[in-house]
Amino acid sequence: MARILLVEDNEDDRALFRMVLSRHGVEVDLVEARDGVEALEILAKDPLPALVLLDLHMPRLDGFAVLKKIRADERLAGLNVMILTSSDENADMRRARARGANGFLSKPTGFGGWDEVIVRIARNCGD
Amino acid sequence: MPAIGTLPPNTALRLLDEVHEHVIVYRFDDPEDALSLRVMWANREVSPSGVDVPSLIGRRLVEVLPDLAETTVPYAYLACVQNQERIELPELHYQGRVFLVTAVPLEGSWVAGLIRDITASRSTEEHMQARVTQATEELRRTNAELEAFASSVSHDLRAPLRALSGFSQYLAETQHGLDDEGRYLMTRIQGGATRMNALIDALLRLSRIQRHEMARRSVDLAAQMRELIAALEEQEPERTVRVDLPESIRVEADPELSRIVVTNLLRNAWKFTRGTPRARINVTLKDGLVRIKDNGVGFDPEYAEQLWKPFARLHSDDTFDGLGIGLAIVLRIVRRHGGHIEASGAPGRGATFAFRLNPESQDGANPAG
Repeated sequence: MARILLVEDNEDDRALFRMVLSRHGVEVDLVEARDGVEALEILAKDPLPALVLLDLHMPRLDGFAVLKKIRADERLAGLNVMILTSSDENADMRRARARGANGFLSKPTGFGGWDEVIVRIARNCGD
Repeated sequence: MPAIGTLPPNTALRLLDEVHEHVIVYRFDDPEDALSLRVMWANREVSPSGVDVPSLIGRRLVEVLPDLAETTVPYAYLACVQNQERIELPELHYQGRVFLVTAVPLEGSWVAGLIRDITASRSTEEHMQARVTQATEELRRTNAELEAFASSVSHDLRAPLRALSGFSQYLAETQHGLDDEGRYLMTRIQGGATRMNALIDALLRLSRIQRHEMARRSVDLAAQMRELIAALEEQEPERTVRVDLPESIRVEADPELSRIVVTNLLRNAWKFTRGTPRARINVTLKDGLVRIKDNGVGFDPEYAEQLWKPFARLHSDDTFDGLGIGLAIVLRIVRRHGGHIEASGAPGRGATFAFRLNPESQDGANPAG
């Protein structure tokens, strides 16, 4: 079962992810971190996740810093990291891309948006 | 130019004393030697640099003020005498003050210096410059704050919205004991969340216009309009709207922003002619003024001011959709270009929007509007 690390400070968003994944019958080993510090603690241990879903604005250590540490660490550098964005944060997206983000996933607000998220997550866990 | 009129006897010299300029008359002992400049006469204006001018009379300038020999001043006076022409010297910085010096040839090897102390006005200018720099810095900071605000709005306001729409969707779909009315209410909640999300988007678009770095280039607005009309026709193939456009509308504008202007104005014309039997949109260009006229529902001119306010609308949601942000964005873009826009219309008789993206003075002598 593919392991996904979800790094997200907002509890509602984490609950939505869990709910949507289970509703779509996506079987993954979902690990959750509430900020960058927790994320790095989890990544310090094996097994490494197939995909990291990373929020940018978090207390303590933010997503930019986490991404930078991942890319600078030989063991973690190859991780597939997708940035979770609320839309309309172009400057953030440019910054994250420059730091080596593999892709962006817009957190959906309206109807139906979650379907695409699931498809993309499944594709990025690529077996 | 000779002086005009008549003076009482012996008043000319007295008048010179009242002038707020130093007037010093020199004579060259040797008309080939710049340093032989001798002070012969001075008016009463006291030198602000602390030089006691009367004590200079009869002495060589470079003897009493030796550091002047290092400047171009004596040589400029010499050139003035030799060429018998008036010379404006470059700004002279001397003993912490700033002077403007004009050399005026008199007779033979005689020359007059008209010396104006501009230290005070110069420091005012520097003060103004500092103020401008400070204001620019404040503006930059405000923009950065605005950007941070926009980002935080986008991030923080959307999170609860996601929860609202996501969980209610889940509730409606899994039918946790909801009857038909319960599901209907859930749909209304989701509609509200969706609309609020769209409003946040619109607010951010509006703030982005202000932050956009403008780069003027030559743009063909007609080409931008044709692209949009083609897209609208593709979206709504069932509609027939007759659109008349000039061959080309060349303006100096930021292409990205000008596209937003024509998009919003033409979309409005397209939208508000929806119920019109023979819908028409007519675009004309005259004296730099672009006029977009439609024969749609129009508006009551009494409420025309409302058109430009963000989120203010003149039609109810169920007649025409929209957030009421388009024209507020258009107005901002036009203002950022130093241009002008106005709307005219009447209920049931169409609307006309006329705009220019350049300040009027650049568009010739016949500005409309």
